[in-house]
Amino acid sequence: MKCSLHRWNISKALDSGEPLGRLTKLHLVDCEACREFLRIGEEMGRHLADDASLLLGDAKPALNNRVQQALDEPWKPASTPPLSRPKLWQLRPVLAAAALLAVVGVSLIWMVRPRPAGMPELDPLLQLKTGRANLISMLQRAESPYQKEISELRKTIQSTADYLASRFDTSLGENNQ
Amino acid sequence: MNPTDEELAARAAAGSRPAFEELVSRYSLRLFHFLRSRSQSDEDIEDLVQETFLKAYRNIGRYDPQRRFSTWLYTVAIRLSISRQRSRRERPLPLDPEGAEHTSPGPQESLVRAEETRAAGNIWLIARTMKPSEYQVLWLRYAEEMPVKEIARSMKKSPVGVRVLLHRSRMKLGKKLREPSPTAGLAEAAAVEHRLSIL
Repeated sequence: MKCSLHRWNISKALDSGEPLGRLTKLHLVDCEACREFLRIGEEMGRHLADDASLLLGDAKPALNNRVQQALDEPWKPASTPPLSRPKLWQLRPVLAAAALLAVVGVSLIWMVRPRPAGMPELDPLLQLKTGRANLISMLQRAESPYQKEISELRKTIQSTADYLASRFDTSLGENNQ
Repeated sequence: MNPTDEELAARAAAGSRPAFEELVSRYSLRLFHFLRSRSQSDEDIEDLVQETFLKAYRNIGRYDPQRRFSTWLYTVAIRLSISRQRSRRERPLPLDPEGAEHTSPGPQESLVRAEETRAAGNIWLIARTMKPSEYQVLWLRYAEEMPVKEIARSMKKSPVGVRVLLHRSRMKLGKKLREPSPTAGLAEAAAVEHRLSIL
Protein backbone atom coordinates (compact mmCIF):
# COMPACT_ATOMS: atom_id res chain seq x y z
CA MET A 1 0.00 0.00 0.00
CA LYS A 2 2.79 2.35 1.02
CA CYS A 3 4.86 1.39 -2.02
CA SER A 4 1.96 1.83 -4.46
CA LEU A 5 1.42 5.34 -3.13
CA HIS A 6 5.09 6.22 -3.61
CA ARG A 7 5.08 4.62 -7.07
CA TRP A 8 2.16 6.83 -8.03
CA ASN A 9 4.21 9.82 -6.87
CA ILE A 10 7.20 8.58 -8.89
CA SER A 11 5.01 8.19 -11.95
CA LYS A 12 3.63 11.69 -11.45
CA ALA A 13 7.15 13.10 -11.22
CA LEU A 14 8.16 11.24 -14.39
CA ASP A 15 5.27 12.81 -16.29
CA SER A 16 5.55 16.32 -14.94
CA GLY A 17 9.33 16.51 -14.78
CA GLU A 18 9.06 17.91 -11.26
CA PRO A 19 11.42 16.64 -8.53
CA LEU A 20 10.26 13.87 -6.19
CA GLY A 21 8.70 14.77 -2.85
CA ARG A 22 10.74 14.56 0.37
CA LEU A 23 8.77 11.58 1.77
CA THR A 24 9.12 9.60 -1.47
CA LYS A 25 12.84 10.32 -1.53
CA LEU A 26 13.12 9.02 2.05
CA HIS A 27 11.14 5.92 1.09
CA LEU A 28 13.46 5.27 -1.87
CA VAL A 29 16.44 5.11 0.45
CA ASP A 30 15.00 2.01 2.13
CA CYS A 31 12.93 0.43 -0.68
CA GLU A 32 14.87 -1.44 -3.32
CA ALA A 33 11.72 -2.32 -5.35
CA CYS A 34 10.62 1.31 -5.65
CA ARG A 35 14.15 2.36 -6.65
CA GLU A 36 13.92 -0.26 -9.38
CA PHE A 37 10.51 1.09 -10.40
CA LEU A 38 11.97 4.58 -10.79
CA ARG A 39 14.95 3.33 -12.75
CA ILE A 40 12.79 1.26 -15.12
CA GLY A 41 10.40 4.19 -15.59
CA GLU A 42 13.21 6.54 -16.57
CA GLU A 43 14.85 3.94 -18.79
CA MET A 44 11.58 3.05 -20.48
CA GLY A 45 10.89 6.72 -21.18
CA ARG A 46 14.29 7.09 -22.84
CA HIS A 47 13.71 3.93 -24.92
CA LEU A 48 10.27 5.06 -26.00
CA ALA A 49 11.59 8.47 -27.10
CA ASP A 50 14.62 7.01 -28.92
CA ASP A 51 12.66 4.25 -30.65
CA ALA A 52 9.99 6.73 -31.74
CA SER A 53 12.62 8.80 -33.50
CA LEU A 54 13.86 5.60 -35.18
CA LEU A 55 10.36 4.86 -36.44
CA LEU A 56 9.91 8.40 -37.68
CA GLY A 57 13.20 8.21 -39.53
CA ASP A 58 11.70 5.85 -42.11
CA ALA A 59 9.98 8.17 -44.54
CA LYS A 60 6.73 7.08 -46.17
CA PRO A 61 6.55 9.13 -49.37
CA ALA A 62 3.66 7.07 -50.75
CA LEU A 63 1.48 8.16 -47.84
CA ASN A 64 2.38 11.82 -48.41
CA ASN A 65 1.54 11.59 -52.10
CA ARG A 66 -1.73 9.88 -51.33
CA VAL A 67 -2.79 12.68 -48.97
CA GLN A 68 -1.70 15.37 -51.44
CA GLN A 69 -3.77 13.74 -54.17
CA ALA A 70 -6.77 13.54 -51.87
CA LEU A 71 -6.41 17.26 -51.18
CA ASP A 72 -6.53 17.96 -54.91
CA GLU A 73 -9.84 16.22 -55.34
CA PRO A 74 -12.82 18.58 -55.24
CA TRP A 75 -14.68 18.26 -52.01
CA LYS A 76 -18.27 17.21 -52.18
CA PRO A 77 -20.33 17.40 -49.01
CA ALA A 78 -21.78 14.08 -48.04
CA SER A 79 -25.28 13.82 -49.36
CA THR A 80 -27.83 11.09 -49.62
CA PRO A 81 -28.45 9.83 -53.18
CA PRO A 82 -31.80 10.98 -54.62
CA LEU A 83 -34.49 8.38 -54.44
CA SER A 84 -35.65 7.12 -57.82
CA ARG A 85 -39.36 7.72 -58.34
CA PRO A 86 -41.29 4.65 -59.46
CA LYS A 87 -43.57 5.18 -62.42
CA LEU A 88 -47.26 5.72 -61.63
CA TRP A 89 -48.50 2.75 -63.62
CA GLN A 90 -46.28 0.47 -61.54
CA LEU A 91 -48.10 1.67 -58.45
CA ARG A 92 -51.62 1.01 -59.73
CA PRO A 93 -52.20 -2.34 -57.97
CA VAL A 94 -50.84 -0.90 -54.75
CA LEU A 95 -53.10 2.15 -54.98
CA ALA A 96 -56.16 -0.04 -55.74
CA ALA A 97 -55.42 -2.27 -52.76
CA ALA A 98 -54.97 0.77 -50.52
CA ALA A 99 -58.28 2.26 -51.70
CA LEU A 100 -60.10 -1.03 -51.09
CA LEU A 101 -58.63 -1.32 -47.62
CA ALA A 102 -59.70 2.25 -46.86
CA VAL A 103 -63.32 1.56 -47.96
CA VAL A 104 -63.53 -1.65 -45.92
CA GLY A 105 -62.08 0.10 -42.90
CA VAL A 106 -64.50 3.03 -43.09
CA SER A 107 -67.53 0.77 -43.50
CA LEU A 108 -66.46 -1.39 -40.57
CA ILE A 109 -66.10 1.67 -38.40
CA TRP A 110 -69.54 2.90 -39.58
CA MET A 111 -71.15 -0.40 -38.66
CA VAL A 112 -69.73 -0.80 -35.20
CA ARG A 113 -69.94 2.84 -34.20
CA PRO A 114 -71.85 3.56 -30.96
CA ARG A 115 -75.32 4.94 -31.79
CA PRO A 116 -76.55 7.99 -29.89
CA ALA A 117 -79.88 7.93 -27.93
CA GLY A 118 -82.93 9.54 -29.54
CA MET A 119 -83.12 12.54 -27.24
CA PRO A 120 -80.55 15.25 -27.63
CA GLU A 121 -78.20 15.97 -24.79
CA LEU A 122 -79.66 18.36 -22.22
CA ASP A 123 -77.97 21.04 -20.36
CA PRO A 124 -76.88 19.53 -16.98
CA LEU A 125 -78.64 22.30 -15.02
CA LEU A 126 -81.82 21.82 -16.97
CA GLN A 127 -81.53 18.10 -16.42
CA LEU A 128 -81.32 18.74 -12.69
CA LYS A 129 -84.45 20.92 -12.68
CA THR A 130 -86.45 18.43 -14.67
CA GLY A 131 -85.37 15.69 -12.35
CA ARG A 132 -86.49 17.69 -9.34
CA ALA A 133 -89.90 18.41 -10.88
CA ASN A 134 -90.33 14.77 -11.74
CA LEU A 135 -89.45 13.79 -8.20
CA ILE A 136 -91.99 16.23 -6.71
CA SER A 137 -94.77 15.04 -8.96
CA MET A 138 -93.92 11.46 -8.08
CA LEU A 139 -94.04 12.33 -4.40
CA GLN A 140 -97.34 14.08 -4.85
CA ARG A 141 -98.72 11.10 -6.64
CA ALA A 142 -97.42 8.86 -3.90
CA GLU A 143 -98.91 11.07 -1.15
CA SER A 144 -102.37 11.74 -2.72
CA PRO A 145 -104.26 8.61 -1.44
CA TYR A 146 -103.16 9.28 2.12
CA GLN A 147 -103.95 12.93 1.74
CA LYS A 148 -107.49 12.14 0.69
CA GLU A 149 -108.00 9.78 3.59
CA ILE A 150 -106.55 12.26 6.06
CA SER A 151 -108.89 15.03 4.86
CA GLU A 152 -111.88 12.72 5.09
CA LEU A 153 -110.83 11.64 8.54
CA ARG A 154 -110.45 15.27 9.52
CA LYS A 155 -113.97 15.99 8.28
CA THR A 156 -115.36 13.07 10.26
CA ILE A 157 -113.64 14.16 13.42
CA GLN A 158 -114.87 17.71 12.88
CA SER A 159 -118.47 16.64 12.47
CA THR A 160 -118.22 14.34 15.49
CA ALA A 161 -116.81 17.15 17.52
CA ASP A 162 -119.59 19.48 16.37
CA TYR A 163 -122.19 16.98 17.29
CA LEU A 164 -120.76 16.36 20.71
CA ALA A 165 -120.46 20.07 21.33
CA SER A 166 -124.04 20.74 20.41
CA ARG A 167 -125.21 17.99 22.66
CA PHE A 168 -123.10 19.20 25.53
CA ASP A 169 -124.29 22.78 25.17
CA THR A 170 -127.90 21.68 25.35
CA SER A 171 -127.44 19.60 28.43
CA LEU A 172 -125.50 22.37 30.07
CA GLY A 173 -128.30 24.81 29.33
CA GLU A 174 -130.78 22.45 30.63
CA ASN A 175 -128.90 21.91 33.84
CA ASN A 176 -128.36 25.62 34.38
CA GLN A 177 -131.87 26.24 33.93
CA MET B 1 14.69 29.32 -40.08
CA ASN B 2 11.82 26.87 -40.50
CA PRO B 3 8.38 28.18 -39.67
CA THR B 4 6.64 26.56 -36.70
CA ASP B 5 3.62 24.31 -37.11
CA GLU B 6 1.41 27.04 -35.73
CA GLU B 7 2.71 29.58 -38.25
CA LEU B 8 2.15 27.14 -41.10
CA ALA B 9 -1.35 26.41 -39.85
CA ALA B 10 -2.12 30.14 -39.72
CA ARG B 11 -0.88 30.51 -43.30
CA ALA B 12 -2.94 27.50 -44.37
CA ALA B 13 -5.99 29.06 -42.73
CA ALA B 14 -5.33 32.17 -44.79
CA GLY B 15 -5.50 30.02 -47.93
CA SER B 16 -1.91 28.84 -48.46
CA ARG B 17 -1.94 25.34 -49.87
CA PRO B 18 1.87 24.88 -49.73
CA ALA B 19 1.78 25.67 -46.02
CA PHE B 20 -0.69 22.85 -45.46
CA GLU B 21 1.34 20.51 -47.65
CA GLU B 22 4.32 21.20 -45.42
CA LEU B 23 2.22 20.25 -42.41
CA VAL B 24 1.20 17.05 -44.19
CA SER B 25 4.83 16.12 -44.79
CA ARG B 26 5.68 16.87 -41.15
CA TYR B 27 2.80 14.92 -39.64
CA SER B 28 1.75 12.10 -41.97
CA LEU B 29 4.23 9.59 -40.64
CA ARG B 30 3.69 10.68 -37.04
CA LEU B 31 -0.06 10.25 -37.43
CA PHE B 32 0.45 6.91 -39.12
CA HIS B 33 2.41 5.55 -36.16
CA PHE B 34 0.09 7.19 -33.66
CA LEU B 35 -2.98 5.53 -35.17
CA ARG B 36 -1.38 2.13 -35.32
CA SER B 37 -3.03 -0.33 -33.01
CA ARG B 38 -3.43 -4.05 -32.94
CA SER B 39 -6.94 -4.01 -34.44
CA GLN B 40 -6.16 -2.13 -37.66
CA SER B 41 -4.36 -2.99 -40.85
CA ASP B 42 -1.83 -0.60 -42.43
CA GLU B 43 -4.28 0.10 -45.24
CA ASP B 44 -6.96 1.14 -42.73
CA ILE B 45 -4.50 3.41 -40.97
CA GLU B 46 -3.45 5.09 -44.21
CA ASP B 47 -7.12 5.73 -44.96
CA LEU B 48 -7.52 7.23 -41.53
CA VAL B 49 -4.46 9.46 -41.93
CA GLN B 50 -5.80 10.71 -45.24
CA GLU B 51 -9.22 11.34 -43.74
CA THR B 52 -7.66 13.21 -40.83
CA PHE B 53 -5.76 15.57 -43.11
CA LEU B 54 -8.79 16.15 -45.32
CA LYS B 55 -10.90 17.01 -42.30
CA ALA B 56 -8.17 19.26 -40.92
CA TYR B 57 -7.80 21.01 -44.29
CA ARG B 58 -11.52 21.69 -44.56
CA ASN B 59 -11.72 22.93 -40.99
CA ILE B 60 -8.41 24.75 -40.74
CA GLY B 61 -10.35 27.98 -40.25
CA ARG B 62 -11.49 26.69 -36.87
CA TYR B 63 -7.95 26.12 -35.61
CA ASP B 64 -6.90 28.52 -32.86
CA PRO B 65 -3.25 29.54 -33.53
CA GLN B 66 -2.77 30.23 -29.81
CA ARG B 67 -2.79 26.48 -29.19
CA ARG B 68 -0.44 23.78 -30.39
CA PHE B 69 -1.22 22.54 -33.89
CA SER B 70 -0.26 18.98 -32.98
CA THR B 71 -2.87 18.89 -30.18
CA TRP B 72 -5.57 20.00 -32.60
CA LEU B 73 -4.53 17.55 -35.31
CA TYR B 74 -4.33 14.62 -32.88
CA THR B 75 -7.78 15.53 -31.54
CA VAL B 76 -9.18 15.29 -35.08
CA ALA B 77 -7.40 11.95 -35.59
CA ILE B 78 -8.65 10.48 -32.30
CA ARG B 79 -12.24 11.48 -33.02
CA LEU B 80 -12.14 9.97 -36.49
CA SER B 81 -10.53 6.81 -35.16
CA ILE B 82 -13.25 6.42 -32.52
CA SER B 83 -16.07 7.00 -34.99
CA ARG B 84 -14.52 4.51 -37.40
CA GLN B 85 -14.30 1.91 -34.63
CA ARG B 86 -17.96 2.51 -33.82
CA SER B 87 -19.08 2.17 -37.42
CA ARG B 88 -17.03 -0.99 -37.74
CA ARG B 89 -18.80 -2.44 -34.71
CA GLU B 90 -22.18 -1.50 -36.17
CA ARG B 91 -21.39 -2.93 -39.61
CA PRO B 92 -23.02 -6.37 -40.03
CA LEU B 93 -20.86 -9.33 -40.95
CA PRO B 94 -20.94 -10.31 -44.62
CA LEU B 95 -22.96 -13.40 -45.38
CA ASP B 96 -20.41 -14.86 -47.76
CA PRO B 97 -17.50 -16.19 -45.67
CA GLU B 98 -15.14 -15.98 -48.65
CA GLY B 99 -15.92 -12.32 -49.07
CA ALA B 100 -15.46 -11.66 -45.38
CA GLU B 101 -12.67 -9.25 -44.59
CA HIS B 102 -10.69 -9.99 -41.44
CA THR B 103 -9.87 -6.56 -40.13
CA SER B 104 -8.69 -7.72 -36.73
CA PRO B 105 -6.09 -10.44 -36.41
CA GLY B 106 -6.92 -13.75 -34.84
CA PRO B 107 -5.06 -15.07 -31.78
CA GLN B 108 -2.54 -16.97 -33.90
CA GLU B 109 -1.87 -13.92 -36.06
CA SER B 110 -1.48 -11.77 -32.96
CA LEU B 111 1.06 -14.21 -31.60
CA VAL B 112 3.04 -14.17 -34.82
CA ARG B 113 2.93 -10.39 -34.87
CA ALA B 114 4.09 -10.26 -31.24
CA GLU B 115 7.00 -12.52 -32.15
CA GLU B 116 7.94 -10.29 -35.08
CA THR B 117 7.92 -7.26 -32.84
CA ARG B 118 10.15 -8.96 -30.33
CA ALA B 119 12.61 -9.83 -33.06
CA ALA B 120 12.54 -6.29 -34.44
CA GLY B 121 13.50 -5.00 -31.03
CA ASN B 122 11.64 -1.69 -31.19
CA ILE B 123 9.77 -1.01 -27.98
CA TRP B 124 6.87 0.60 -29.90
CA LEU B 125 6.16 -2.64 -31.70
CA ILE B 126 5.56 -4.26 -28.33
CA ALA B 127 3.55 -1.26 -27.15
CA ARG B 128 1.31 -1.73 -30.18
CA THR B 129 -0.03 -4.95 -28.68
CA MET B 130 -1.58 -2.94 -25.84
CA LYS B 131 -4.98 -1.24 -25.87
CA PRO B 132 -5.22 1.63 -28.41
CA SER B 133 -5.70 4.24 -25.64
CA GLU B 134 -2.63 2.94 -23.75
CA TYR B 135 -0.52 2.97 -26.90
CA GLN B 136 -1.73 6.42 -27.90
CA VAL B 137 -1.10 8.00 -24.51
CA LEU B 138 2.48 6.68 -24.56
CA TRP B 139 2.97 7.97 -28.09
CA LEU B 140 1.76 11.46 -27.24
CA ARG B 141 3.91 11.55 -24.08
CA TYR B 142 7.17 10.12 -25.43
CA ALA B 143 7.12 10.50 -29.22
CA GLU B 144 5.38 13.85 -29.32
CA GLU B 145 6.71 14.97 -25.92
CA MET B 146 3.37 16.52 -25.10
CA PRO B 147 2.76 17.71 -21.57
CA VAL B 148 -0.03 15.98 -19.63
CA LYS B 149 -2.32 18.97 -20.06
CA GLU B 150 -2.08 18.84 -23.86
CA ILE B 151 -2.57 15.07 -23.91
CA ALA B 152 -5.68 15.55 -21.80
CA ARG B 153 -6.99 18.07 -24.33
CA SER B 154 -6.30 15.77 -27.27
CA MET B 155 -7.76 12.67 -25.68
CA LYS B 156 -10.71 14.49 -24.10
CA LYS B 157 -9.72 13.29 -20.64
CA SER B 158 -8.92 15.00 -17.37
CA PRO B 159 -5.21 15.53 -16.53
CA VAL B 160 -5.58 13.09 -13.63
CA GLY B 161 -7.15 10.55 -15.97
CA VAL B 162 -4.18 10.92 -18.33
CA ARG B 163 -1.71 10.46 -15.44
CA VAL B 164 -3.51 7.29 -14.35
CA LEU B 165 -3.49 5.99 -17.94
CA LEU B 166 0.22 6.77 -18.33
CA HIS B 167 1.04 5.08 -15.02
CA ARG B 168 -0.91 1.94 -15.96
CA SER B 169 0.45 1.87 -19.51
CA ARG B 170 4.05 2.07 -18.32
CA MET B 171 3.45 -0.71 -15.78
CA LYS B 172 1.79 -2.85 -18.43
CA LEU B 173 4.56 -2.25 -20.95
CA GLY B 174 7.18 -3.09 -18.33
CA LYS B 175 5.34 -6.34 -17.62
CA LYS B 176 5.15 -7.16 -21.35
CA LEU B 177 8.87 -6.59 -21.72
CA ARG B 178 9.60 -8.90 -18.82
CA GLU B 179 7.30 -11.79 -19.72
CA PRO B 180 9.07 -14.53 -21.71
CA SER B 181 7.70 -15.41 -25.12
CA PRO B 182 5.92 -18.81 -25.24
CA THR B 183 7.31 -19.65 -28.69
CA ALA B 184 10.58 -17.80 -28.47
CA GLY B 185 13.59 -19.46 -29.98
CA LEU B 186 17.07 -19.17 -28.58
CA ALA B 187 17.87 -16.01 -30.56
CA GLU B 188 14.67 -14.31 -29.43
CA ALA B 189 15.18 -15.39 -25.86
CA ALA B 190 18.62 -13.85 -26.07
CA ALA B 191 17.10 -10.64 -27.45
CA VAL B 192 14.61 -10.51 -24.57
CA GLU B 193 17.41 -11.18 -22.10
CA HIS B 194 19.37 -8.36 -23.65
CA ARG B 195 16.39 -6.01 -23.36
CA LEU B 196 15.88 -6.99 -19.73
CA SER B 197 19.49 -6.30 -18.97
CA ILE B 198 19.02 -2.82 -20.45
CA LEU B 199 15.93 -2.16 -18.35
